[in-house]
Amino acid sequence: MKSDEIRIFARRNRDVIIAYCVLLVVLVLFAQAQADFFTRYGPQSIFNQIITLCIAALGQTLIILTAGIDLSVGTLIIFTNCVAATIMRPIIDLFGGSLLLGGAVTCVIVVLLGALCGLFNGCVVVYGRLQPIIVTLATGSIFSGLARYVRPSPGGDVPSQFARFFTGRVLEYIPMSAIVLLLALLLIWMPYRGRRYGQALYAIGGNENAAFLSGIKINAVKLLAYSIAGMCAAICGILLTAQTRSGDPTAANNFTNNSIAAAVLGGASLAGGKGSYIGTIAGAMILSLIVGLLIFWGISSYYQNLVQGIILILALSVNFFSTIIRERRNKLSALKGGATK
Amino acid sequence: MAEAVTTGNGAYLSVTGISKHFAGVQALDQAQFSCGKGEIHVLIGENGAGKSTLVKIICGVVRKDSGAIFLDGRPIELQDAFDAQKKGIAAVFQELSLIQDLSVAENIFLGNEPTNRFGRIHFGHIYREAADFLNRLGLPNLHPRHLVRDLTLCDKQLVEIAKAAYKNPDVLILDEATSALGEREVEWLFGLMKRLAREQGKAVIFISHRMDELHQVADRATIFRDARYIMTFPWGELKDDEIVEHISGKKNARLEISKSSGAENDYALEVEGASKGGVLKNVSFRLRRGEILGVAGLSGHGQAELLHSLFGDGTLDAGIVKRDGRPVKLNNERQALKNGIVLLPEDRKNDGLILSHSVAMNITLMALNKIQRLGVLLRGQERKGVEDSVEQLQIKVSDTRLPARSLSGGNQQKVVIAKALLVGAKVILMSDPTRGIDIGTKTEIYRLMSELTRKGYSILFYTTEMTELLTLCNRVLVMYEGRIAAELSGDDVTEKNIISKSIGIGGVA
Repeated sequence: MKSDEIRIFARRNRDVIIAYCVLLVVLVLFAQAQADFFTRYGPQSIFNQIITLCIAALGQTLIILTAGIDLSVGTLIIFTNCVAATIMRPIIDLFGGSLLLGGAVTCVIVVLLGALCGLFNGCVVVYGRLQPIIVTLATGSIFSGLARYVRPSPGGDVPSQFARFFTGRVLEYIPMSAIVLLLALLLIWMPYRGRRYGQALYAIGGNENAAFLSGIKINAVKLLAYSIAGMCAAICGILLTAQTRSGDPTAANNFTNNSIAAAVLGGASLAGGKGSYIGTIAGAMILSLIVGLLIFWGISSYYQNLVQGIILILALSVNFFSTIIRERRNKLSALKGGATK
Repeated sequence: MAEAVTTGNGAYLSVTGISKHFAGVQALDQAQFSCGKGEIHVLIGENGAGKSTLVKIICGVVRKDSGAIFLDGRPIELQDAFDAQKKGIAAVFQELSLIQDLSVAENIFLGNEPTNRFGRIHFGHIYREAADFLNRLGLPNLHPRHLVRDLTLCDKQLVEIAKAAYKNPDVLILDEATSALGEREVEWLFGLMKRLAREQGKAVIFISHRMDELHQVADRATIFRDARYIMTFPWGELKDDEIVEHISGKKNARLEISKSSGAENDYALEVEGASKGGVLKNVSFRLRRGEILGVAGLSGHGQAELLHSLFGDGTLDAGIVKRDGRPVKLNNERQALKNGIVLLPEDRKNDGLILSHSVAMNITLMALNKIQRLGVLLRGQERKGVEDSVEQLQIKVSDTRLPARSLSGGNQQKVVIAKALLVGAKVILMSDPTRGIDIGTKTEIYRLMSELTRKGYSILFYTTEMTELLTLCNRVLVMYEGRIAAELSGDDVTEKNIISKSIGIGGVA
């Protein structure tokens, strides 16, 4: 009975388990390549590399679970980044030069702005009854335009303390990025993990009609998912502000593509109803760390996308290969069975 | 002839004067019926007669245009499905409404998860309770932790029923809940229905197209035709012929179809020692030219796998397949088609048709090779092929440019058959072709099958309906645990023989 349950658990979480196996390999390679991997700088550098994609991908996962997709996450990150870089100094001045208070208020405002943008996405999807892919393609353009309106040229005034706070360490050893990741996970877990909203999310993506017949409030669940995804994008925008100490409306980024890829690597299905936050984090870590590895190995960053693409294809092929292996085995056993008869 | 249905009179649930329009189509016109506590009430009528719309209104899934619903004598208004559930009305719908990537237990509890003060779900409790409940219900073989995705269609249907039963409703509605079940599961379901009605005093509403099933459970029946209420009668008061007459509205000639036994020693398809995974074990049989060879057995004993592997769903692990006496390879569906074998899949809506495409496009989909030259479709030939099919099969469609979705189930199935005929395959594998189709169209399909065999087609015919085997087949293969447990022929093709072989009783005949 107990082993039966373990088997079912493994079957159900196979994609997540595979993702973490791949991540382990990447980490081992990383440990070999990076000299200070086992010092306190090791985790700090790793978490700083992965944090933005992890959080963007967590938001993306929520939307993918509802059988949607968010193509606006990349430009929403840029928009919130520009807003943060622009309003930070005036707000700090407003609070009499208090970096702590001003920074905190800025963060709250930007996160609320992100939630609002996400809610807008959700409202158009839910009440406009439009496909998420089209809606977010359009709102993505809108966010990009808004970013240029807020910050016509790259720049902004971001205090160095703000940058150091988000990229530094707490209590000597704990990377701040790790804490932010934990907070983002809590943000997602609080309404969802082990709760009816969580079950509803999977149910809607799996079979919206069935979810409706089970009495689930579909609109509310979707609106919350889009809002939280917007908050995730805003957190990502704040971190980007800290890392670059500026806001750049013209910046191109891979967050949209990579966040989808990370969710899929972590076992999510674009058809909806399948995926996990823990799996997505593994996917995002793999995709981010690969970039670091390429740099260590002296391979031009021009090949980044190429390698990320190959990894995605390989990971997705595991399913296919395991089916082939199973068929081979069946065939062999049938032949043997025939011989003994 | 309509018997008055009063709202009081002991009826727990009653509806009167219900009407509903869908985009200009009258789906229900002044429909009525009532069901008392402890009663099993069956709704009968052809597809499109309005039964499903009516139960959807009772479940709060569809809003009525007019009319009234009374529960326990009081009028109720239903906001949505959740509202109906709170009032004690639960339903098992025709289309499966399970979440594939949640477990059996999670599906049973969906929307009703027990939570603690902080809104956290008691998963331990869910799994314990589900295991306990499935045991009490008589379904100990369903593991609460298994993903629904991994279950057979039959097991999924059982989960669906368990999910509705768990809500402990006062009114349980089963809309063609037996169409995916095997005989043993149907028997179990009837036991459950009788227990709920007779012992616990629930109102059970049952929709089925299978007359033999209705005989086993019905207390009273209401007939609908063309969106209208026809009559309610205590079961047993009308003979089968009379019921069919009321359903169809016209005198139906009794089903007189000669069994197609085909030519002696002239085999269209021979299978020797076919094995595949654990699901097919040393299967051998020969299909004569012009024969309808039945495949029987409880669902999930390898019948679907047999048909699919003959249509190139993966290679066999062992075994030889001969077509017209020549050994052939059937590694994929193209090879199967090239060798003149075609499959009518059991899941008409997902595997058989592209519902959003036009009827014409669906018919020519597999035969595109035949109506093209240098990669350009020949519109004239395409139109001719479509027109011929529509005429030959009497598909009821006003315009072949309409989407396949707009047809009734029976006509959809005819489109699937037309598609298969157009590719010119002479061996047709049919998997439950009359599932969820009304009696009138079923008869048409039987006639069509019989006509095809006279034209030299050979049919391997898997069905879950006993009467179809008895009417159409001179020979029947009974499958049990992936093996052919018996090959019955002539006078041995009886219900008793088929059932006993399909539950593994007795040696090979």
